Amino acid sequence: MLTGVQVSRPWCKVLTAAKSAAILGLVMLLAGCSAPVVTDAAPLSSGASGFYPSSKLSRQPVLDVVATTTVLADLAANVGGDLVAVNTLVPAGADVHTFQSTPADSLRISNARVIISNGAGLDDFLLPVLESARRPGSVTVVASRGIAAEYLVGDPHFWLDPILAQHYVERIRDGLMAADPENSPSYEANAQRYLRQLEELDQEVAATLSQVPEARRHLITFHDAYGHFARRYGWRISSFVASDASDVTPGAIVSILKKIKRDGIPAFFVEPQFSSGLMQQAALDSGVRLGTIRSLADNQAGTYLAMMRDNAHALAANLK
Amino acid sequence: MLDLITEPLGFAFMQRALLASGLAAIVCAVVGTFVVLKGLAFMGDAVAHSSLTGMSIAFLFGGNVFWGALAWAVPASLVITLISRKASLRLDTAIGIIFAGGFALGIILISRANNYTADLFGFLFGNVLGASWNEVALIGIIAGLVLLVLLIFYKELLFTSYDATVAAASGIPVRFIYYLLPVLVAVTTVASLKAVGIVLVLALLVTPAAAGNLLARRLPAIMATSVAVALLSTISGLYLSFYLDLPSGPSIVMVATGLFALALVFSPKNGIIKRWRNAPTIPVAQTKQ
Repeated sequence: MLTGVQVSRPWCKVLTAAKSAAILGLVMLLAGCSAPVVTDAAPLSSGASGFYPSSKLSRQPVLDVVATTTVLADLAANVGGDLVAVNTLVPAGADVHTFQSTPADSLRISNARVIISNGAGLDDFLLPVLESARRPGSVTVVASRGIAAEYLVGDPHFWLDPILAQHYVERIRDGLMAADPENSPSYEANAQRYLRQLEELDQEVAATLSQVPEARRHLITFHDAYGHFARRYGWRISSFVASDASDVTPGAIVSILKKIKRDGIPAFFVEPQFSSGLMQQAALDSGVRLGTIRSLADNQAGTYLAMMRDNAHALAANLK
Repeated sequence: MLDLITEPLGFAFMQRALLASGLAAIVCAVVGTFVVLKGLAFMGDAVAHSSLTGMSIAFLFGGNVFWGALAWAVPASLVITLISRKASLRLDTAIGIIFAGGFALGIILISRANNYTADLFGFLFGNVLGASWNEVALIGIIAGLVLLVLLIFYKELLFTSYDATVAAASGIPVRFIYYLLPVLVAVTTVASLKAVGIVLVLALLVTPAAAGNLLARRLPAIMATSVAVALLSTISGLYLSFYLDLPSGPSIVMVATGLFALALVFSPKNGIIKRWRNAPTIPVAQTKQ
């Protein structure tokens, strides 16, 4: 869901160039002498953050929101509607694990009145950046906080379960209401509507996945992100690495090759933000297909709902 | 018992990993012998780190990451040599500049590749378990070419390594050798990136050669020992990683480090270590002329 208008002005390019050259002082100077310039330049200067461009031009007083990931940004945009302008820190298609923030990110954080992070280990390394840049009085929302203890098993990708995503939505709603009490009724109504959509999404995903024969309900991915998804729909999961791309072991490959042979699993699923060379080789060796699955919204699957539907269809199409 | 050796070989990914890292280890050990003699260890490290830029550029334009790294690494090694020789800076200073500069540019470029990002960890740590047959063949061809060049210029490299002044006086194109060796180091390093990645490639280049230096006296023997240590490290490192479920690149490096420690302890004390210290290993490249 794209909200707002993409701003394009020549001097934005100048700012981008200056930043690329890491002339931090210049950026800071611009921030000091003309704050609006920086606000408008923000969507351009971070490449894919045009994904959720600021709708500043509408002249309507909006609530500036910063979210660490594309999924959190999409949830916030759904709860906030026209009342919020959401910026994403980790660009669409990037790997959260290796993200490095820029001064422009800190400027966006300092403009924000609501700051949304996932927590539970996913984006906690950004907390010092968020904390040092945020303006006094801004509301911080750690979306996963308060999730029932039974789910806290070390996998921070709670949102891949639509029912746990409802928890995110409730926390984001509460955060927006705290920052902007005047518009509370709107946030409440939007959240209500979106919570219902998540309910429907859950049923739809379950129905799509039920096309897959029981023995093949086994999701094999590169990184270990789908624990909560698998738990919700009664699937098994295997992954090549536990957290990031640095620690593939021969044992992990062997165990996966054995499982696909035993159960006749016909496909692996790659995530676009990870290099897929190793899985391509393993798929070639064992004669299985490669499907695509996403843990974050990107330019192909722009919203959380679209991403989840795409994932379910990819699983059904490749495994049934 | 035999099963322990044959079981990993039943997997295509292990066959490719053994071949890719073995070929890389051989050429690294041979080139590494000169690297250790001439004190060029961090040349290899600098070239590896700065080649992140070449990888990122290739990635951004949809090219092959390997050729990107190579196209960046060779000029980088020449620039390091040029800076240190023309700007009257010590070699390690020139290395530091290109090392950090190239690595920083690489990180900036990767962070700009928003869509379907270059996987930074993949570059930094490599992944020999993901090597394709094409990559194995490529490493083999490059290793062969590097060894061929070494063979052709063996005498020149040998003389220049031990005594550049005498070598120059006896008509050897010393200046050419000064620039040839860094290029060989660059090509070798890039060929080995798939096996152990940017961060650990230095270990393949230096550790087996250092062990060889401790254990043997004459250059051909040093080379042979280095190659043996390198092959033992890669093969047993991969087997360890297979059976103990450890990441492969670091396992190879740990075995090599262990073998070096053994060499350090058990090498015949009489003369070898002393010779290693006293031989004219103060690299000529570091001596200002």
